[in-house]
Amino acid sequence: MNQELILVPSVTYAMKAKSILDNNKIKSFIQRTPKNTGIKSCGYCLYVPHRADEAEELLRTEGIRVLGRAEREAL
Amino acid sequence: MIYLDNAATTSPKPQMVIQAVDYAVRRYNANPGRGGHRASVEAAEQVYRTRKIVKEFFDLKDESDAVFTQNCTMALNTVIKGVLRKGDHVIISSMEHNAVLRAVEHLKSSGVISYSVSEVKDNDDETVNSFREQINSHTKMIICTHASNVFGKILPVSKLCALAHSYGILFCMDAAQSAGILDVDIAESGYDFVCCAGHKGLYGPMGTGLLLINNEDALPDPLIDGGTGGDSLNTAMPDYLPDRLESGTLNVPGICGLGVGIRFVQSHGVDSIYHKEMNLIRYAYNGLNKIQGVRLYTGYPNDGEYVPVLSFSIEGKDSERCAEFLNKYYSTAVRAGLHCAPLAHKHMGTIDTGTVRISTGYHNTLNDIQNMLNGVNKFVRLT
Repeated sequence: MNQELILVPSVTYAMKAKSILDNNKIKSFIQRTPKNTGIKSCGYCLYVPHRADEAEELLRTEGIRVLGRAEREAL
Repeated sequence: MIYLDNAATTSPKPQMVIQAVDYAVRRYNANPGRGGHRASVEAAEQVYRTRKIVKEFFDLKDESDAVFTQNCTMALNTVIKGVLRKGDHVIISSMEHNAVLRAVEHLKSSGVISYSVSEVKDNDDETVNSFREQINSHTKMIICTHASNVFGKILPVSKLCALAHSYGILFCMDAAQSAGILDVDIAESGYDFVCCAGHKGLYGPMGTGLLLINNEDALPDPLIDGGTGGDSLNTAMPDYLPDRLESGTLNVPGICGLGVGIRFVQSHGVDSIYHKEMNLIRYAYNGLNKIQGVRLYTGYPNDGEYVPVLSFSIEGKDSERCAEFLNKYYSTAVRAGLHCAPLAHKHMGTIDTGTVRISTGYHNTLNDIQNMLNGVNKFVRLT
């Protein structure tokens, strides 16, 4: 299972997380958290198509509150 | 119009700020943090961009520690009403604006807190002692303006912050008159809370302010509860910044303008702006000092002791009439009266007469000051 979504609490966290990943040359896209993630409320996540595990570790190291990971469903 | 009321709001705004606001209204007209569509994310990116500018400018630990408010008053109220609890005691200075005085008086009259007013002295160490004498076992916070909005006097905030922390007390600074004029380095100073207007020395549009938080163990309760765009099933406000203190739709055009306003200040340099404006104030001080009947209330405005704000009155004349005269015949905008700061006027003995206040901005020139001096001269002779 490739969990490409990294869930964060807010759009500010998503922006900060994206900025950190950009600086580390990891491509990511901000999107709303889909319903299949187990997060019941609305929120934001980063879609990280490649190196998602490395991205999560990096974000946690940088103090980003990561709520979890999820699979991205095709539209 | 010659504008010498920059302590109320700076005018004119830099062209780049006007353009940024205009562009934001057209280009970023979607609600940030409220959707996943491109327009919403782009608006959120712009808000975040300003947060990063604020972080860099004030040397914050994290972008999230910058909370956008409507003005400095809202930031101060958030701290005062969000941190203080029943039985707490607060110390404020004798130079505080009503943004502080009315908020603490409200809590006092509701039976929540008590507060003391410490006299600001000519000597900084005496001022610090005046605060020290008011500390008791219930004192939770010292709230102090960085500089008087009426008389321009800079208060010894670093020493007062050190005093507060030596007693385990929080320190909140009102930087309404200093942000963009004086160096406010939060990491270095250790202030727990700094409240700023966005539309004064930071050259953003009106309707912008900042609450800067430097103590994650003392997060205020929200002044306003509501939607934050995330965690919607939770009926409590989030426990993380900035969402905890930013419910409701943000002022995106204002925030974009504020970011560019701070860039404007950075491009000219805080020190350079300060010295330029202080030279104008000194010119005004010297000129006013030569006009018979004019009374100045402070010492010579040396760098480091004052911000570019100056008050005067004219013997036997009404301050409001003087401001009216300058407006009508010299097209000069100054502010007379009590300047929402009755404590400061009581302190200086001007509570009954009020004063005429002049306050410079980046765009003022010596000609502007000379014009004002000509007007005051004429007013003294003709009325």
